[in-house]
Amino acid sequence: MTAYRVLVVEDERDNRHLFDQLLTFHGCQVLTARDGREAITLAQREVPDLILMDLSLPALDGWEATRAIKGIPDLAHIPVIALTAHAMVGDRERALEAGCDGYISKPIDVLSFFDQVCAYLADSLPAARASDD
Amino acid sequence: MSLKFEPTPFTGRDWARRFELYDSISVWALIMSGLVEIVYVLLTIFQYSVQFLLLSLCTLLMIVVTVIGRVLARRGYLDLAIYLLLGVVLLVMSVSALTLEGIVLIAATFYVAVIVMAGILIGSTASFAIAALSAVLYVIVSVLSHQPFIAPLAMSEGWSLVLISFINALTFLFVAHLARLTTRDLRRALRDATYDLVKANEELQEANRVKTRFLARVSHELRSPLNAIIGYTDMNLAGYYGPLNDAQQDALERVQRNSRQLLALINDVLDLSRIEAGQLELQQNIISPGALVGLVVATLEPQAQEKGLAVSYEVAPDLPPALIGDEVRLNQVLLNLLDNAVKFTSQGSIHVSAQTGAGDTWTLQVRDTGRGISEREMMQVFEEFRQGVAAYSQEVRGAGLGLAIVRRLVEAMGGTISVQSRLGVGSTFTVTLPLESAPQPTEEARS
Repeated sequence: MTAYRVLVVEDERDNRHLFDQLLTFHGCQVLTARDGREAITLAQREVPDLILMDLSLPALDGWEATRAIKGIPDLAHIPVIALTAHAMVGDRERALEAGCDGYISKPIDVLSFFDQVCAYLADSLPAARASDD
Repeated sequence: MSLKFEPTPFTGRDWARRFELYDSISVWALIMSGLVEIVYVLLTIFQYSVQFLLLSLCTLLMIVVTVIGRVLARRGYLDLAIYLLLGVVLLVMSVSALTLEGIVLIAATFYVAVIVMAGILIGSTASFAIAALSAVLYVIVSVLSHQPFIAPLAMSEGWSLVLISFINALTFLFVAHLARLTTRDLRRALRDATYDLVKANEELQEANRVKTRFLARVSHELRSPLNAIIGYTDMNLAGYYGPLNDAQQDALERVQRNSRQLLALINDVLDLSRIEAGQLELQQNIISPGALVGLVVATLEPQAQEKGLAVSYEVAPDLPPALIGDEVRLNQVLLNLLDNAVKFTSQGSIHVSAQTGAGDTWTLQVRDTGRGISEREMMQVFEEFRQGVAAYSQEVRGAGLGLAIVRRLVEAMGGTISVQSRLGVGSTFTVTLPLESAPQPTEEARS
């Protein structure tokens, strides 16, 4: 079984580390980015299986970054999951509008987090792999 | 909410308003006295008498004083100018009444004009003082004019009629002008006040928006570190970092409990700000009252058992199994009520029930055998940041937002909440909601 390659975009160090650890424990290969620009660059170079996108980011926010990634033909198939603190009404709706395939609320539930992530992977991976070939 | 009227923004405008009124009235006073002066001067030249000379000098004095008054008003001495104008008019009137026979009666209308003028320019209190002064002057003039040492000029009836009619006509015009000024002034004041209110309301709404944004931002900033705290704690407790000894397990469980409590608090503050900002959007889910009650009871049963409390629940069989409502919010309402009951009950039992209510309603009820609520506390129990007096004792913690949120949520759903309680016996919270049966509990229901 090949490890899932997940790109975590999160500006806060400890949270980035937390997602990194949690996904690594579950056997994922984790890439991390601190802001939207870095995320786009990394996504283009590595083409991960899934992107976890925090929404409020410096330089380029999560909505913009998602819109940009979904606009790149080679990357459009990658599921992007928004990590929302759903503080503002409409944050989620805006995330879906920007092209996110789903969202996970922060603070995350450690025990179900990986299952939630896997659900998105399972949904889109076969199609994604198919289009890669 | 109480409205407080601030006098400050209006005082500057009030000065300008009074200046404008004075400006217009004094111009009219100048025109009128000018016309009267021409008549008196002509009379002095062609029908010479001491009285006509005196009258023309008097009117000239009024013109001069009014001009000085206008200069003073422009330099900021508005009150002085107003009193000068009122004073000089009263003086000229009194002299005229004493000098011309038959004018005394006419003077009454003049006095009325002055009183109205005072009312417009300096307010009601001062105008009553002017009215009193005018009355005294009127009596004095009436009495004096019949004294032998005063010799009013007796004119031929024809001349007298012409002069009196002329002065009368001018006075009526003047009063008409005053009336027009007052209504115009009132319309403007009303318009200004309305403008101020609208503006204040806009500012208030903007302040509220800023508050909501601020709370949302703060809540976001608080959630991020909490994500790390809760995340690492849960990972530790789930054994991701290897086995824990009993003390570590216990310590981390305490961290977990407290961080979740903190999260619940942050959520409460955010909820309340959303409800206040009118951003609460209720969903139309198909809900099962039985499942709702069962889930909430199951959630809080461990906490109740820890305190040795028995929790029971019952769903009336005549209640439709599928209702329309916001599943998440109803859950939140019942969870808060039950949480509250567990918090404030140290022994005995808690009973949760769902029933059909009067009319097209259904009720959710939480009954406890807790400490109860005093009548005084009952008034405040649904307000923000209030708890019973015991709230700040060691045993019960919380920001006191739970019931305030419950009340607002219930009201947003078109329902009501009430509480019956006896100190030391227990409390019963009853939520009454409009009953709307779901058409058919199919699988499309959950969307």
